[in-house]
Amino acid sequence: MLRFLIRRVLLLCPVLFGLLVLTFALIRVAPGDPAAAIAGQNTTPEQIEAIRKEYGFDKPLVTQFAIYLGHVAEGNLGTSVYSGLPVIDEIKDRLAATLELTFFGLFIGVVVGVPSGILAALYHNRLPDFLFRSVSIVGVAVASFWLAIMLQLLFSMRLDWLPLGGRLAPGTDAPTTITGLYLVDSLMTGRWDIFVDALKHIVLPAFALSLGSIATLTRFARAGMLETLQKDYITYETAAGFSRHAIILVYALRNSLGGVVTQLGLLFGALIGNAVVVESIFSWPGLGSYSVDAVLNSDYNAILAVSLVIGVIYALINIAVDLMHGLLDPQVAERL
Amino acid sequence: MKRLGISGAARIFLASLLLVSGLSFTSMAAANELVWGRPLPRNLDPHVASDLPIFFISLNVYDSLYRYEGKSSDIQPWLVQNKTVSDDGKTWLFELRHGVKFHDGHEMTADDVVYSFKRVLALGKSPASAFKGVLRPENVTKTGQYTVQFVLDESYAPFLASLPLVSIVNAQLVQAHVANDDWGQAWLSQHDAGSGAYAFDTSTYAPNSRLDLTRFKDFFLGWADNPAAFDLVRARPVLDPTSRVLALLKGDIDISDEYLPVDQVEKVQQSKLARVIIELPLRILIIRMNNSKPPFDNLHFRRCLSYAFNYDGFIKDVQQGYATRLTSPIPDGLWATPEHISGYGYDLVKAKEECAQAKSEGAPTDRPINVNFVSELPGTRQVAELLQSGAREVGVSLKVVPDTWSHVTASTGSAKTTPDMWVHFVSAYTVDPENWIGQMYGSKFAGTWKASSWYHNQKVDTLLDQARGSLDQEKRKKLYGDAAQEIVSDAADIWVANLKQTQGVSKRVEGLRFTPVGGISELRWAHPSTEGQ
Repeated sequence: MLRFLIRRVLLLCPVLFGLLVLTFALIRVAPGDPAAAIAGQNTTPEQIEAIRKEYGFDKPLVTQFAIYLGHVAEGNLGTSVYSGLPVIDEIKDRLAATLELTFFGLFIGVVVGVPSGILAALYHNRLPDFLFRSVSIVGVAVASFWLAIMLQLLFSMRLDWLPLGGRLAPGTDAPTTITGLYLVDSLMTGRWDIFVDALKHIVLPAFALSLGSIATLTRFARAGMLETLQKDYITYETAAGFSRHAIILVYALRNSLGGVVTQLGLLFGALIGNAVVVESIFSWPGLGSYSVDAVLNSDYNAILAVSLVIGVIYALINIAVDLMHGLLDPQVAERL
Repeated sequence: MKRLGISGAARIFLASLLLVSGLSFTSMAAANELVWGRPLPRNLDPHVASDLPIFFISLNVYDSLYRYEGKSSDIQPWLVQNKTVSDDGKTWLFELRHGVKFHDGHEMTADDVVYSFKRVLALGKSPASAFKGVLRPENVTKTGQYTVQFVLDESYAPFLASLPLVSIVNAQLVQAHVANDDWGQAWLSQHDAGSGAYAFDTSTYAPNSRLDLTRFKDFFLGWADNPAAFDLVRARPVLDPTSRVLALLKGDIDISDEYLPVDQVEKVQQSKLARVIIELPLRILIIRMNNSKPPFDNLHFRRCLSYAFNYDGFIKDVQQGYATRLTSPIPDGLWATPEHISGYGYDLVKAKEECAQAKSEGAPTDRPINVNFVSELPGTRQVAELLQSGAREVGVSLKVVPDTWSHVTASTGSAKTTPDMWVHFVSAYTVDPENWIGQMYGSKFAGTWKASSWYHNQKVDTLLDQARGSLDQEKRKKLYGDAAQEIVSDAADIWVANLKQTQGVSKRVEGLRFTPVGGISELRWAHPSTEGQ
């Protein structure tokens, strides 16, 4: 297991290098002039040229990349054109917001999707199965931005149950930072009022984000459970007189979750992608809305940094998923 | 188990929502708080940021020598008590108010004014463009504890109108935070060095996410004229325009878009919690033509497209009347607006004639032409599509291309990279014709986004230079009028409309004062509604 972990972490280096090469090249070949973007409006061509030299944009692309790589190795991701602040500082704040949202979204996906899939399998080709399958098709088909606006209209505007957006109400101060996750920090510091406020604010964006995950996990949990229920050992255990509850919860469930766990890694990437839209609609101050600002303002350092950070997280999540496979299946663990 | 499985899950979900909502407390602002829902500026340094949201900072956190106050396009002395101007219009001497305090308690003196202007000129960002070629840093000098002298390279009438662009910063404070000769840019991008009506603590700041301004009790004008002013202004930008309107209607924010989507204006007007303030903000909508590129280097082709745009259709159907016709590069409502220029109308017959003429002169009228619109600017797509429709009628093929503000303005640095055509607004940064016709059509501004039509006409340059050099407003009006006539005759661009500002505001806020520069951004006049909304 340890060898596997070391091997995967080492493999992370070429993956991230490839990501940086690709992102750097894409940004530089895309139309637009980074020097002009940094200079801002109403500047003269001479001022733009001066900035081009100052930032090294006049050097060959390979040299520029080597310089950038050197800075990244030192932990310097550059300064944001948008705010004038170091990108690394801005990302720190926003990363926690996005992780809180995506993990909460994923949590909803698992809590709702997996039981739904199992129930659908248990009632195979009966009404519940039909209902869960229909809902999962809708879940995959519905665009998250549409769902987000519909949720706002229903739960915020019509019912007035939940806030429209933001991470906290305007008058609520953020909890003392421990992890950066407001739900966790407020509980750890005993601030129940902040916890409730943060929970109110995260429910709608997380649900809008998670509908696709619910649908996917329902389908995979259903398929996994159906396949497992047809195994010989299930027939044997049934014949041996084990209770149905025991067969499903103790023996079948664990063996049917392999596909679900694989999907969790992939879904995390999809959630981060969808967060770009959902965060903007709900004014969630995370990496998604940050990357929208970065692209709209041609904030090159910010775009590169966001790509790198998301790449690292995605790779780490996939390593975690592989490890979870090992925990669920001893045969996989032996191969690791 | 079957029943529990299905309805149980639904019950748990609904119960969770009810629990969360039941434990909720209202998110609406307290009585003496105002919630600002519009985007924050890119950077809180008023000498660096060049976007419209910077007015939220520059008009509330900082003061300037002069300021635009009220609907009138006249400017008022602000930090200045007296001024004297030499006969040749080159030397300006300002006597400052005494006893103006910065937020840290330090008194503002001539040193702060001199430092602020030198900083603006050294950084060379947006506010510096108004002084380009006429003011050098060494010519801003302190002549006494409270007197500052400016010596211009030449007589420059828009100088006074440009002074509100420069926020006066606390020199001592900024200088203490200079790193690597950056003029304190890194520090001031997120800290307060002002003397304005509101102050902020940087611990409340997260870029484009949150910022709290608190009322500055020692503000130099005092608060006797508005004792009930808001004590706290919470900036909580709602990023998505649709969500921003919803937030206004729900009462979560007090100040929404300056330009509400026109289909939302009626909805907001009928709301119990919000209203719409409608004003004429000297903001124009324009379709640029890159005069340096064929076929736009042909006068008749430019006129052809000028006749092919359905101006009235845009104003009545797209803008639903929240706009008026613009016939020249000078907006309506300005002292220099030329009344005698009727401009181009929607006339497809004339358009066809002009296009035929252009073609006979060898202009490549059938080449593919792009018209770029700015995705983040509502309405620009419709303008591009309306032009595309009219152009199709006269046999010109236009391709509508989405773009972003940062990209398109960066591309206007050279004639070659500037789009064939693009649609944008020009807002009032200074209330002087120089803000529009001067910077848009003077050859010396080539390479900036405002001058992106790459128009060059020696006669116009001469007229604009004369207008800049004269301190006689009547004479300037005549000169700008003549220049505008020449530019319209050359069909340098397509001037579409004067936009009306449709500002969404909560009914619980009263006292807001509108000015063409910054709209209702100056909040020191605002106070909670006396009707207790």
